[in-house]
Amino acid sequence: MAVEVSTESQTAGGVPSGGGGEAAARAFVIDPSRSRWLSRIREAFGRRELLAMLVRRDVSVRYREAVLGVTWAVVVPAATLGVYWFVFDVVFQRQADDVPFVVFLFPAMLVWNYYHSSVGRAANSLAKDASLLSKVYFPRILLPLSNVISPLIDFSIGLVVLIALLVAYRYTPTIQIVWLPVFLVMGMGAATGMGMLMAALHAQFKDVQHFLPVMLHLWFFSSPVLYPASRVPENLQIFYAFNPMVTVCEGARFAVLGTDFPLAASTVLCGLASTLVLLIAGFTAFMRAEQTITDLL
Amino acid sequence: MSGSMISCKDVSKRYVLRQRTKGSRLMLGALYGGAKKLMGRADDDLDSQDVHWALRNVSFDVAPGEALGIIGRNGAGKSTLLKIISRLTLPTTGRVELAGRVGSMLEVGVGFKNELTGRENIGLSGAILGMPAKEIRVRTDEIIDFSGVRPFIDMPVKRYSSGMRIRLAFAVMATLEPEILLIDEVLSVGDAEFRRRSAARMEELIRGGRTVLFVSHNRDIVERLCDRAVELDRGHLVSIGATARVVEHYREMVQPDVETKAFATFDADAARPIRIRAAAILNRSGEVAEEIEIAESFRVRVSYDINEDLDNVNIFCRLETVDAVGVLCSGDADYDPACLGPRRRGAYSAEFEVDGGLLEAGAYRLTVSAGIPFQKVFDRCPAAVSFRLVDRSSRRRLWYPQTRPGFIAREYPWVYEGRSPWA
Repeated sequence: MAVEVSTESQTAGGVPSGGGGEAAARAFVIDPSRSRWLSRIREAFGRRELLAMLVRRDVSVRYREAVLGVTWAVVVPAATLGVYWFVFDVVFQRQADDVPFVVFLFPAMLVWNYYHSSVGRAANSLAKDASLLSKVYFPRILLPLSNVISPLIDFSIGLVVLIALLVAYRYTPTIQIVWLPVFLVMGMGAATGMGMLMAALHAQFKDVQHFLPVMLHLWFFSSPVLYPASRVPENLQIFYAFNPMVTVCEGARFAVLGTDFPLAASTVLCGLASTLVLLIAGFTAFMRAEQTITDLL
Repeated sequence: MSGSMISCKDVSKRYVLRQRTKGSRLMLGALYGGAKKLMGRADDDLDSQDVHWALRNVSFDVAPGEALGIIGRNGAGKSTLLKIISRLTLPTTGRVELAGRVGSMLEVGVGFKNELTGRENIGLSGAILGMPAKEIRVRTDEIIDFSGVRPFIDMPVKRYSSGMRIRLAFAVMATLEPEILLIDEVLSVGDAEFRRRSAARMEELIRGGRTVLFVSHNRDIVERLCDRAVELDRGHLVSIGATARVVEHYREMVQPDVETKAFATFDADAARPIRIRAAAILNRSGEVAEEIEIAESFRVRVSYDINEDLDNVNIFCRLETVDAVGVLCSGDADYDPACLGPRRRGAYSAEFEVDGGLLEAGAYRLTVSAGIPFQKVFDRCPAAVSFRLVDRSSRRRLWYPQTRPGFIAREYPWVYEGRSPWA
């Protein structure tokens, strides 16, 4: 019978305490009583050099080994695009709003791919670096955070493919392109929240690795990547709006293609609200799990 | 905690041992458990048997610049204590106050990535260990020189030999200069030359006015490097104070655990060309003895069968301490190479005598083997017999009540040139 060791205390904290005197001002207290979040955020911020290092590590480890190196970041989205082009443009002969389907698809697919890989990698980040976690202390939140940042490299490379695609189809982006970073930031917010939440869950429950891919798959089809949001029936729109990726995907399309913004203000507000809820939930869950991670892994 | 760098107050750590069969680590299981709890049928009340206290009410203070050694058997809670102080895990109750930046050397090679080059790994490992990027840049050359892997520094670490990897990792770690340093037995890595340098660096760090917590099984190193020591036993702090006193207490406490058996027999085995049949430790009067006074000589007796005519064989004894440090080896052909000649089949018995006053007090064990040197082992009885050398009568014992480090107990008379100071 396998015996596992885990700890009971769920919330706890270790934090620099204030107080008079030179030594006391620097005194650091480790006790199981409270989780002093504010100072832990401050601490994580103080280690941003490490965050940069972790991002660099992720990126170079990812591409150094492959023979074609960074080329893969171009080849993979281009190949996916090719598949979708074949299925939808050639087989189904589908036209979306007078725009060639690949052009319609690609902006949304870029942000979705970013979201997908961020959440997936962030969820796995603690398990992947378990040996690190058990040997040295650093603010653990840097691990999911670095995994939300590093897919931005793939995203930027994908942007190059996008530009090539637009040129090929003789599309000139309008000034609306400045909105792209705005929707990207929203996507990052959702990815950060979801990533932290999944990382915290994954530390405690091994079945996240089975459940997460299925969830992301369903989520993909619940987001307007392959189809415009307007195709969703009216009576489902209320639920649909709470998916932050609806706003992000349609927003990216709007920014790149220079079309009219297809969503109602209420939809965007719902998306923003659920992004915020995700961020808060993810952060809370992670902060609670953080202190006991070593005992759980 | 006025004045102390580390202050532990009533620190306890409880682990809950959970059986995987209950499925409590699966999310569905947790949901099910939660639902059951809601319905008032909670069945996961902690059974006292499922709880393990790794530490129980441990309190101590470490003054600035002091080096505190932590000793104890396996499972005594040493590592848990270091884990708590280095913030890897939280205490269940109690608190620790730290008055400075903590750096821990719990393992060599933390955060090394095989795909990255040596130089990149210096940056990464340094950042993980908490060095500012600027400092890493400034000290990179120094780190490379200390590690001695300069020709390979821009190669991926996976091409390194394990020795090179460890040297580079240690070199990064050795540049850490925190106010509080936690060290867990990482001293002996690499080849002899590097070991010497890393031990010197450790000593420099420990003696360099830093506050140090040092965990080791090696009592001699703790004695040499630490001012004070703490002894843990099954999670409890059992003694604290001057290192020599604590180490002595530990030695005494550990001793009853070493089982001694001064006489052992083994069944005949005709399939082996040589079979060792018995081994014994005999005292001066020729009796089997588990305890021998260090001043007195003792004899090692070995009986064996030769089942077929053989050439070039010898019978070999290796005497070692309980920590597996070899102390003395002797073969029955050492003294006279002619003994390597042909041996006829039959049952034999032989012994040799170890003179009194040679070996230091402590527990020893004896491994007996028979074979052709450099070629074959026909029979081997690891730790066949064990015994203890005790010191109740040596002259220094009268005024120096502790065991000294070392293996040799010889007392040497000091001879003064001309006038002696007592005259």
